[in-house]
Amino acid sequence: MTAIPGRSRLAFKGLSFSKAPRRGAVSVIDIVVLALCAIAAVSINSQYAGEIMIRTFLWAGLALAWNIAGGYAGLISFGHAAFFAIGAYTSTILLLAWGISPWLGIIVGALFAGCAGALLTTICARLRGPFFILSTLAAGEVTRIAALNWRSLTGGPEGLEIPPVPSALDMVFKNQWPYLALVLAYMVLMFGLSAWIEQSRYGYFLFATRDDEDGAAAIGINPWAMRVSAMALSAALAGIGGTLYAQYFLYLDPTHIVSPDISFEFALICAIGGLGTASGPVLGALIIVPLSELLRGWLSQSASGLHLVIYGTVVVVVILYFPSGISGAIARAWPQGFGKSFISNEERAL
Amino acid sequence: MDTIVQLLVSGVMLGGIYAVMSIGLTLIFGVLKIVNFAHGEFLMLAMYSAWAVVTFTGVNAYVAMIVVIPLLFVFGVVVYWLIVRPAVDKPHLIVVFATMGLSIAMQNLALVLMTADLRDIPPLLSGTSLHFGPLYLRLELVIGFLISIIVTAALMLFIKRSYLGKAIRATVQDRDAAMLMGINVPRLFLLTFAAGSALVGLAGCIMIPLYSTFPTVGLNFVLIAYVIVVLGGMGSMEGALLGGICVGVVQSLSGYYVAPAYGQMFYFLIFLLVMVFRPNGLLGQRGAAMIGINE
Repeated sequence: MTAIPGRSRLAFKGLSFSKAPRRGAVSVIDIVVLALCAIAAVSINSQYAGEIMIRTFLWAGLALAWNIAGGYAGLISFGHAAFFAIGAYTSTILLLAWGISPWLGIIVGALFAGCAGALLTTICARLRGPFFILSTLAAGEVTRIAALNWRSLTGGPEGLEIPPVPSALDMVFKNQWPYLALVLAYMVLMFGLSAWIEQSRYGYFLFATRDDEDGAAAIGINPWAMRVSAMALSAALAGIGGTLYAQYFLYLDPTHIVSPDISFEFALICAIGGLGTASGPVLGALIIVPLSELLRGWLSQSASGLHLVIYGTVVVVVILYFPSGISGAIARAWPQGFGKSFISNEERAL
Repeated sequence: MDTIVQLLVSGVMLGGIYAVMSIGLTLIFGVLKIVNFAHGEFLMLAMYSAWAVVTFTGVNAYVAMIVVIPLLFVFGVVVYWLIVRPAVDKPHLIVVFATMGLSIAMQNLALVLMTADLRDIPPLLSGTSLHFGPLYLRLELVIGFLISIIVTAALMLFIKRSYLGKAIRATVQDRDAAMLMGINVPRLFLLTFAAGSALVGLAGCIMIPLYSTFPTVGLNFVLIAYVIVVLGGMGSMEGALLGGICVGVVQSLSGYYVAPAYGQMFYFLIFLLVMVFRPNGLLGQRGAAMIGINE
């Protein structure tokens, strides 16, 4: 059977490679970075380093999930902690109440989170810019208050605890290795998915909707479907991260996991790394998470919170002077790499 | 019956105070078309400054305004020069993330310098309440409400009547046309941002007798301010007053009849409902929510 030429070219163009980070291509830098992550994960020898690495990879995966909505579709969400928490709570409640394995719960959680994302975007279908951002923030707060007060379901402010009985079926492990492998796989999968979206027909539809909604509608793209599907996908993937978080920490504290701080963190990792590129969130997380963990360790004796003062200042400087983030800066410094990220694209339009 | 009247009256008064806290945000949004995500931390700074003035000089919080308002004005100027001005013509994302970074830095700087302890000032006149027939009202609440109403009214009058107010309204309507008419728009931006910040200073002085301050105090109040500003219609001052009173009454009623925690849920749900059915708010500019503002 012969494939329809025009269509197959678009649908199965396949990933291409480039030196510097570039939209729609896996760059040499990405491969080196991911390989280094794997090597680092295999060669760690201390509990502390392992913990930092697990957090880094998990946060990189979550930032990549956020980036699908925030970067590719331009739907900046400050409520992603809600989707993260829906994933975490769903699998945990299924496990505690009915003994359903988190391996299954992770899928159910992702579905619930995805539905929540679709619902939120449908509700806010007409809103743009700051109005959309504030609505996502409000939705996150509604979820937080629900998690704190719906005692029969979420255990209220005391949170939920997963019994620390090692069992591969319940996704509870005695040592760090399986967790490290899980979150590394999560990050690599999210990266692969992001890189695939960038060069796919769907990705181009998202970029078109983001950059010029009327124009996209005029050439037959349904902007509403693009926005809803991107947010649903992003929310579902964040939900998967939520289950992994729950299974690693074995404790869900509603004041922490649904706090706006977590949502801001996903967004800021992407902003620093480079919005709307697959490399950006990975680079952002690999730099920010270990650095802030280490700074917290060093500075906690003298002044707790100082690491976040530095972090906040870095965010301001990076976003004002390198608006396309680290990956954009690399792409610009590297000849032959046409780094196109969200903001540099818009900058040219201005 | 008395209970309902009591709850309504104290809700309205609380709403007036919330309104003055939100007016700076809505003013800045109306003119510059940006949301200052560090607004809550401006309030935190104002409350700490008011607390410091009261604690170290012994004057009462309303006298402390003489120091706190100019301080916040200057702070607004500095933030405008360093962070807002380089970002104001760029896509709205830049200003969102830049002010977000500022908010994190300020919040944690407060944590480093002031620790997480709650700071409050001794009550005015040893906590007397006023009696109006069956009503009991805290003196600080009444004074705060009166100041809020006077300031809001004066500000509205200023915007309606004065030459500068006219320039502000022209800039709100059409930035480019205003510039062509010889209005110094960048100067107006600076002035508006600083004035919005000064209004937060005023709000801090009104609020310090009622609430204690701590490094993350801004987050609680800024979420309320966002609700109020969206409810009233972003950029509308009358709307902020109306929205503030709505939120105050909802909070006061739900705090009594339902649990206070669900009261918060109520106004976030109201917020989402407003976004769905009347995205421009009660008194906002038509179509504001649908266009991507700072495209």
